[in-house]
Amino acid sequence: MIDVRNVRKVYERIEKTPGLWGAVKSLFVQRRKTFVAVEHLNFQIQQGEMVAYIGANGAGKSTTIKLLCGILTPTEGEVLINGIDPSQKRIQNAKQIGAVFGQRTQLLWDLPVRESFELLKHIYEVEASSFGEMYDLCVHVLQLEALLNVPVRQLSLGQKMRCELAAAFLHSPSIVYLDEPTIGLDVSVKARIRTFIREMNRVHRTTVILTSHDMQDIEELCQRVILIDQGKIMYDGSIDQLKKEYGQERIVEFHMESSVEWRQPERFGSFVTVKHADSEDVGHTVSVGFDPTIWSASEIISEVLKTNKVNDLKVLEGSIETIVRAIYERNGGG
Amino acid sequence: MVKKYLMLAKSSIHLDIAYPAWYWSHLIVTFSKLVLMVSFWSAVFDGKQLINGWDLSSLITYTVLSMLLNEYVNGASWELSNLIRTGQISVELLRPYDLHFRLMAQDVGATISNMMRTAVPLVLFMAFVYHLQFPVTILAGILFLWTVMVAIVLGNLIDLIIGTMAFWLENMWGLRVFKAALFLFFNGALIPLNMFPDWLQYLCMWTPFPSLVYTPVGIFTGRIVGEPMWIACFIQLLWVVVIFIVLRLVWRVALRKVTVFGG
Amino acid sequence: MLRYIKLYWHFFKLRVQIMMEYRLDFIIGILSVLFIQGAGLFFVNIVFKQIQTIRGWSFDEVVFIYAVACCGRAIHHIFFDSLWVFGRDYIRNGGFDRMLVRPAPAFFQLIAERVQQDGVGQLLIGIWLLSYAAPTIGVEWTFVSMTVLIILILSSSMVFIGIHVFTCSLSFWMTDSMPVQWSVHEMSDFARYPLVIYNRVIQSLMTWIIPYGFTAFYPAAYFLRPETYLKMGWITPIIGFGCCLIGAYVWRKGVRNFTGTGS
Ligand SMILES: Nc1ncnc2c1ncn2[C@@H]1O[C@H](COP(=O)(O)OP(=O)(O)OP(=O)(O)O)[C@@H](O)[C@H]1O
Ligand SMILES: [Mg+2]
Repeated sequence: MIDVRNVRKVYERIEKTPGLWGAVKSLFVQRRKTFVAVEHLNFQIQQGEMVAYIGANGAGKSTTIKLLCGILTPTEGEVLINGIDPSQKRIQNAKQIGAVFGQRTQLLWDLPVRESFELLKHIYEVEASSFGEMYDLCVHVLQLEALLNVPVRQLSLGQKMRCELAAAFLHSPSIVYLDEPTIGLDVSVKARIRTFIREMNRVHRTTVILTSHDMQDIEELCQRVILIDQGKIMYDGSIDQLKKEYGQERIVEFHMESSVEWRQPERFGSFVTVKHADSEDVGHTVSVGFDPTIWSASEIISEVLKTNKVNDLKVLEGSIETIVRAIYERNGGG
Repeated sequence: MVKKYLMLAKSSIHLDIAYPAWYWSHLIVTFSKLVLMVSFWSAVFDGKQLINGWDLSSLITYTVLSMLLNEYVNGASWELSNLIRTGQISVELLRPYDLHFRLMAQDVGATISNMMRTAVPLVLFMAFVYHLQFPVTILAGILFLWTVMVAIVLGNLIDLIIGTMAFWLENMWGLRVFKAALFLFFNGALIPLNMFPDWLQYLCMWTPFPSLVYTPVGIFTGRIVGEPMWIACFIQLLWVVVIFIVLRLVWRVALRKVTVFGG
Repeated sequence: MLRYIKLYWHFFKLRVQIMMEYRLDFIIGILSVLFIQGAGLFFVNIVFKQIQTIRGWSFDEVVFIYAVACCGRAIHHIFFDSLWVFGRDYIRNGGFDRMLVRPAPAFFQLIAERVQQDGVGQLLIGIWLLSYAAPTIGVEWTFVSMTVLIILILSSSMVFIGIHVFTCSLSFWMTDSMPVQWSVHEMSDFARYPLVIYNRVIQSLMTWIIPYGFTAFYPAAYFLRPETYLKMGWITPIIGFGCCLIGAYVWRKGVRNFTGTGS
């Protein structure tokens, strides 16, 4: 069981003064600045749960995962993993967890995958019998047979990630942290990885904590979602509830010439949120957010086209980013 | 055309200054090495007037200048080998410049800035404390500056050949340490080449190494004068041409490897 | 303990396997070590061509000191090579995170991940030099003297290791402490001569501040001049332990700092 109580993590950064003179000055003095990455983190996760940990880039997801693994020590507050404080009893904690960090590899670069797996067996002191069972299962579900004798440096990203995943589960950990395990992978590899994670959770009741920017990963795997924004938890609950509450909004984006003025259709009133942005390559962009139970996308589009000259338009689906934005706006940020 | 390389050289000055730790530790280690070398030679002389035609004062001058120069006749092998190792090289090859000239421009920029901040203060300090000698003639002084510049270019070219080896080697570290030892010994930075036994001096003549350090500092301290001085300058330039051709040949072979293995 | 020996053995086997993947590197490594040690000795040899003794120490005695240094640093070289790349490959690229999520001490994993075959050549040269120099300076090989010599050589490598762990741990604060490691390590080259050739300040610096004096000179002098250096010989193991303790302390502090700031 994971128990996080009132955790706060502060980073220190060295400020770089720009320019030549700044560089010379930094030979002698350096200025430091603190930065709060996460704070007031509170949640419990039971054995066997699969939890998605989501948020925009830089929200503090990886930081939280590192706190749970014991790679970072909380500045304040307490983390307990099955009763162990991971940053104090790191080795003891390490035995019960597995981890995958984005594109960082824990396999031996120059050797066949098989050797890396073998080494892990020794590092985690796993019994030969239970290891063999897990090994077969991983190889089977992730379809690794053909890869086992290939040196890691010759594997493609997707092949490597499948091996990485196996490496995280081989010692039958009770908790596995996956920080963006499907980043940069194609649809079929993603599907295979999801099947594997689900299978592991079903057979071994492995607790899985997953960060991802892929909505489908989350919908297919997790019952529960924790949403974090700018270091604070904004939502903790079931995924259905999340979608009902916040995922309603859909967005249509209109691109137009910068010189043309936007004329808001009168029917919109205050039921629709309108945002403007300018960029050099696409010119003026207007995003219109609406509630799909009241409006349809085609209604919105036809209303806008009545009064405006538009070059291009795009209908955005409810992605994590839009949900995050909706929540953020609802909570009075912005 | 040339301007882009000048800008690159300038950008590396900024980068070079951006790492205070490197600067200070380099300064301290260079300083300590000089002091230790000087005390070593003083102990060797220990009251003797002349050893192999050198008196203590000119030998100290030689040691200080040659050890400092030895620090600067390196190039961008580290960066080049990292580009190769990480596969970044394929991106670099798409850029609109000659990679060798780019690396050299940046390295020369960094070298000059580092010389200003490290070598110059150290020479002044050593001159003050140990009474270093002045160049024997004005001509020697001018030729010294010229040959130092040529030496830096030559050192860069050799280093790029070393860096290119990363296409075939994994242990670049070992090769670099090897190269450093080879340079230190054969370019005369550790010990003046005319103290070597004759056969070894003869052997050295057929390598580019003496052109890196012994030629400039030998001219400065009046070990190389008259006709041999001009010959040494000529040979130095000759080596620049030869090494440049070798570099391009090796590079061409290596690039074929890139296209075969797909970076 | 037994578990870690087994685990190390397992890492070791993998390491050898990787070595075989890069045969050319292997050869270059061996060559470079031979050359570097050879050049160092040759330098001493040339100097002693000019003078009979340096502050009362003969060529053979200096070779003996050199040999002790060679063995001591070889052990450090073989087993602790990954300290060099700690900043670049582990802190900067986040490889250290991976070590923290595994159930073994991070330091153990770091050390176990690399074995540097080059060091073996160095060890062999050291042993060969010892056997050459010992008879000429009248050291008798008895069981007792052998044991003492081995203990002193182990202590010498502990000094190397302790100092290196210390400078390496600075990476926790400055991301890549390579420059500092390098600077400090360079000093050890000068500890391979009788320390008495340097002035008092340098001597006490090399004895009590950066105790490289205990890597070669004091242990060797224990055999060469027991009248004067008996005590220094005896405290060598203590200094070795002390260095390792300090190194370990700073490492632990570093890990704590790393998990504290995550930089
Ligand atoms: N070592 C560090 N030192 C200083 N600041 C850091 C450090 N690591 C992360 N940060 C900052 O902390 C914040 C949270 O970073 P974190 O890596 O947890 O984000 P994330 O949610 O994982 O984002 P992403 O989706 O981009 O991976 C960011 O603003 C980041 O700039
Ligand atoms: Mg992240």
